[in-house]
Amino acid sequence: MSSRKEEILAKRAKLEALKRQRELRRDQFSTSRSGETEFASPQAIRGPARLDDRISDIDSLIHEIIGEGRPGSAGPSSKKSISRPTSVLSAAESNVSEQTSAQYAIPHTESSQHTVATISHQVLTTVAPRVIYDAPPTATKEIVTYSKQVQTTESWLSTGVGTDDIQVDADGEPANRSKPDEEELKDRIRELEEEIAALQSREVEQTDTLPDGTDGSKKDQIKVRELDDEEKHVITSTEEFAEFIERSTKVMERALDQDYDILADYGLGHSTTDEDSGGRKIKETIQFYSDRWSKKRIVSDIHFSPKFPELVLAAYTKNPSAPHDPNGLVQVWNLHLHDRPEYIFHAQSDVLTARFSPYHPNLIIGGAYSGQVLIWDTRAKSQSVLRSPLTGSGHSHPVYSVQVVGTQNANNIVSCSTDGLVCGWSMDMLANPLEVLELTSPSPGRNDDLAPTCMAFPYSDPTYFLVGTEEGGIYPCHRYDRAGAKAGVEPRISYRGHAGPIMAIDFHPVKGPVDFGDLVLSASLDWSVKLWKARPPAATATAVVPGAQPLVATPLMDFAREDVVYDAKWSPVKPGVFGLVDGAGSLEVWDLTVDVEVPVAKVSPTARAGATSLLTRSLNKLAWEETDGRRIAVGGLDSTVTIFEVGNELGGTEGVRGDEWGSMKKLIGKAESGGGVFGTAASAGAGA
Amino acid sequence: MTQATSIANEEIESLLSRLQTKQSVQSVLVLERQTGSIIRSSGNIASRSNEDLVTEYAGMVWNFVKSAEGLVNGMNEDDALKLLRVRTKMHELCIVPDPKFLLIVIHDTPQA
Repeated sequence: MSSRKEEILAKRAKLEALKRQRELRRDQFSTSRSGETEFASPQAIRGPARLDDRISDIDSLIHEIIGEGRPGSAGPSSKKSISRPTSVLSAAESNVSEQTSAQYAIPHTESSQHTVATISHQVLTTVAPRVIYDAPPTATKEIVTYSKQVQTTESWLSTGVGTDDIQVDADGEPANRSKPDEEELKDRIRELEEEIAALQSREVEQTDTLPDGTDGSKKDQIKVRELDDEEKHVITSTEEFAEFIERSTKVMERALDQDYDILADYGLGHSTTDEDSGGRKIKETIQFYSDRWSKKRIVSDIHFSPKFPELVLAAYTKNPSAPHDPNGLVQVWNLHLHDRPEYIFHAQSDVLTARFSPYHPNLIIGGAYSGQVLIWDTRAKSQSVLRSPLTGSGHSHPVYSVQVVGTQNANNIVSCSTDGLVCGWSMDMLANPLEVLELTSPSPGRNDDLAPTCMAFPYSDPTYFLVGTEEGGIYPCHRYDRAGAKAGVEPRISYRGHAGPIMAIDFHPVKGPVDFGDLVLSASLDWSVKLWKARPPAATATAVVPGAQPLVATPLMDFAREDVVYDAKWSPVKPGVFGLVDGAGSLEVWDLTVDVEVPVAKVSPTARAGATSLLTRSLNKLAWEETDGRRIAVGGLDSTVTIFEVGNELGGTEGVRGDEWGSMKKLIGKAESGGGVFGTAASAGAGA
Repeated sequence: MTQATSIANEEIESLLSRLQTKQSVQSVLVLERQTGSIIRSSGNIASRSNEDLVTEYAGMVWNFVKSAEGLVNGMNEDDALKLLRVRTKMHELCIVPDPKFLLIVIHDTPQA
């Protein structure tokens, strides 16, 4: 019996100690709560082993806080009863040993009654979440408390602490805790509980995945399997699949070709690469070549889409070594899709010229060696949607030039073949030309036929155009009869100066304060580019007396080059800038406001790997990107289309100097009055 | 008919092989959208003669696409998933979803 007493004494002492401890802990809580939470997370992370500690910690915390605030509050007590179902039992147990520790026992029973009574309240508040995550710890606890008889003391003690808690709560020492504080605490508890829940779920995951790693993938394997060959074949041979592959690979390649790294960190040290120091630099950006389609074909025309500045089309002649491929080809390249064309269009005969319609972003108009005029649609397949018949009233000779003239609401295709036939077509119908015009040589005594190689319309007047011919003359033509002049070649004026066939004519695209719309560039095989001032058709119609000698206009300026010049085009934004390509394979960019003797920049596209001879260097065509004049595309004999980017002073709308228009005007005025200042005398002689 | 499909097949092959031969591309996968079944696979993950890896990847990607789809549909019922790009420290995954198929390309991210 004495031993029993001793035991009880020892227990009392222990209880005292515990009380003190608890007091201490409470102080800790009230002073450094935030510290506790911070501390909590690393502790929690340390592993599931700590979890139980944590939970019991929180349990007691909840008791302290909520229990004190509202003695009858259901939350903690229910928690208690669920997580440690021993509390009631042990309370009863302690009643048995009451005689010695009555002081504890009485509040004990009270408190236990409390808990029992309030369980029902509890259900209303926050039972559900707690039940879920408290379940696993319960099981372990139970084992501890009941498996060992000897440890009744401990269990008694632990319940003692628990009841003690409640006792104190019931005693009402809680006065010093204010309501908001309590709410804050509740929040904190919730946070902690969530933390524990997360931890537990992680623990569950770990146990799921770690012991048998196949578990996760097993689930996938159920869903995902490799199809067998037959199934694969069935799927891959559907039209649907082909379409999907076609579409998706295009998207994919665009994504892969996107050079710009959107995750680029400019804060990191980068080697300072050569930024183009001069605004007059030309930089090669991309080359377009397709092994399958471009091979052995000559680039016959290039045009940038006016609607989508990243699209550029290239027309090709036939590949003599592939008789089964269509002779004519048009590929639409995308600056964002590097080694595959966006669209491929076919024609039966070599395509000599092609361009996007400025008024229909989907339509591409082409002219073929057979004399056909074709329209392709980017929404349709590779065959042309419309084509003119090979026989009939259309062209029967190669069509080297097509133009779309008119306005948004009224526009026509005008095409021109080498036998001197000019046809106007409706966009909707190519069965028959709307208008047919036969050009004949104006001067008597010459060959009656006129062989136009190129054609250009001024931007302001769709009824009048210039044709460049094989014999070197440039003639103005009217599309319709007008006062004092019949439709056809204007007989009273001709522009002579070139000694070789004209390869290109280009009207100045005026978009500025001064009207240069009458300035014309011509490129010829006589190794020169000439600048002309076109007389307005009305002036020629009245000023020249019928029967008089035809007026022969001479060029304003003459730019002698070192090789045959195949193409020359004005920049769409800079008044004095034009580009030219020659038989030596170089692209030259001139700025007349800077220098009229030498080009401001000259480059050659890098030779394609595998390109064979020097003969393939020659460049055939050139095109400016129309919206801001920053890019130039060139192409020629080696089947490659090369895109160049020009510096700020040669392209781009924002860099236009205010004085450019003025100095260009001055220059033209000087050339008009001075005549021979810029070496036009020699060419005038050659022309005559 | 058979000729037409063989031509189509040839074209498909060439398109996919071109994609595969692109410099940075590691693997190309084509899956069925509904079930996630593998229709085609090539590149790193397939060449290791490790079928489990392919199916594992396919399963992961498929699940990912599914949840992404859920996200998109959750935000707007009428919306649809068009392209997924997932950048990681080492790779990038490009996924083009289609009503019936998925094209997945795993490639190295361009070094900045």
